[in-house]
Amino acid sequence: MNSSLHHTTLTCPNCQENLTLYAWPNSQYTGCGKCYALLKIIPNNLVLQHRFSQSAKFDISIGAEVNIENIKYVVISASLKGVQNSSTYYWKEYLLYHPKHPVASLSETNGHWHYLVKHSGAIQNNKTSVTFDNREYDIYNRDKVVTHNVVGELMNASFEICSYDEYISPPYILSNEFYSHNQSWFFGRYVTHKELKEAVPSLTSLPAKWGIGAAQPNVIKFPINLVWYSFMAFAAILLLSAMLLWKRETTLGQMTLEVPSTQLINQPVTPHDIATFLGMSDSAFAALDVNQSNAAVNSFNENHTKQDQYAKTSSFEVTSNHSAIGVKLHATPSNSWVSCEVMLINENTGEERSFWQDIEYYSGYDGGSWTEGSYDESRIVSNVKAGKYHFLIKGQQAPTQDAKPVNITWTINPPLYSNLWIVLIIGLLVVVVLNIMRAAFESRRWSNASATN
Amino acid sequence: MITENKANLDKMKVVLALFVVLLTGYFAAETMGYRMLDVFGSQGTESTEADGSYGSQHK
Repeated sequence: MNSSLHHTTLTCPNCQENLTLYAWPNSQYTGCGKCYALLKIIPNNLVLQHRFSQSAKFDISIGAEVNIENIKYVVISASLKGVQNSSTYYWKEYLLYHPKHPVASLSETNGHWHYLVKHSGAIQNNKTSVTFDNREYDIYNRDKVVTHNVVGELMNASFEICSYDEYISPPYILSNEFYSHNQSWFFGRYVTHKELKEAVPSLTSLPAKWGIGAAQPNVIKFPINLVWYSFMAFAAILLLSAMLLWKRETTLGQMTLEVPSTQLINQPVTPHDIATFLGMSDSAFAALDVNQSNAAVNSFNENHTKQDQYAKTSSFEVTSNHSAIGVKLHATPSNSWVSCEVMLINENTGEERSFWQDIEYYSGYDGGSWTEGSYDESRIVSNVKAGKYHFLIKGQQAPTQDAKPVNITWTINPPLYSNLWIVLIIGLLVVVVLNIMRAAFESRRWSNASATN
Repeated sequence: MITENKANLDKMKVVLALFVVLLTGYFAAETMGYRMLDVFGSQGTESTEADGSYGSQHK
């Protein structure tokens, strides 16, 4: 209880409860917390004006100190208010009094608190928005308000039914109350539970928050357009960096590979093939005995090992311990395909990295000319360690076409396009997620509004 | 207004820091010949199309 402020005690004529007045003679009415009587204050006496039928439990007691924005107020009343003809929408208002400052209030709705101070002047509004102190406020609530209970002093007949407009520009709020006798503007802001607990030391527990407060700051506190501008700057720097980095690509070597058709590859080995391999005539090969013939076949097979079927490129050095090697393949299949197996061999360790790459190109006419595929393909072998390397390459193509050579070029430091896409997509995702979070928060806020633009 | 802009920039620090981390990560990966996709276990090669298109229609 506040003892520094001069106060007067009067007795409720209805229930004989002692009622303390902190603001009198500035206050005009007081409510009794015991019998719910609303009493008009006349010098040294109280006269019954009205009896509320609804009880209320308040979190801050009358006479409690509230130290907010370096002003030490006293709570002189607590009111339970609600929207006329609504049985669900209630809030509590605590009137704050300091003899040298305008009247202020703390209002609590669904666990969300706002601190409002009476504004002495008029504020121009156009029914849907208000411009005040260089900020644009949007209409949020427009209701008829009913007071269900009052404990403590009121400065005027604010228990009467009034029209109530509320405009928000989070974390700020403006409210306009219209009574039969006057209208008042209140300017305020959202108050966090932490700040409230510091401001009201006597407050032991707070109602849990539910939903979003009218002027509660968005979880995404910065303007979303700033995020978009940042992303555009990020994307521009990223693309510029990529273009500079891609210029590092250097050709290491190239070769032309004659590619046999699959028919050739799959042809069975004949005695003629073995005889030719051994450099003898077919008849001489046929004249060999069984042991000589088996030895000749084994020799043929050994010499046609995997490596012999591959074309070997010249060796090249990779000097950096982490490098990417690019392989570009060019062929001109006509309504057909060419396929190559490419193996990167580390000559120091024998380690190999391999891939297959098809080159397909089809074209035709079907109500209009069409093409499908490409003469050029490229692949990248990433994160290659330093060392001496060569490629083993073999290819095959469809049996129905003339033999088509494949031109193969290999480079170091080729562009890693997927890295650019990944970083761009992550950056874009950040912006999109922030946008969604902000929009979802605002959507929840405005779902509680009774008036919108 | 200046104070408000400064406050907004302060709040933007986390987002700006994330963009800087992404740029640094990209620069490091590109100079080291490292594919970020390899993080997801796809060791090996990357397919790209040199002409940027796979097919076309000419009506």
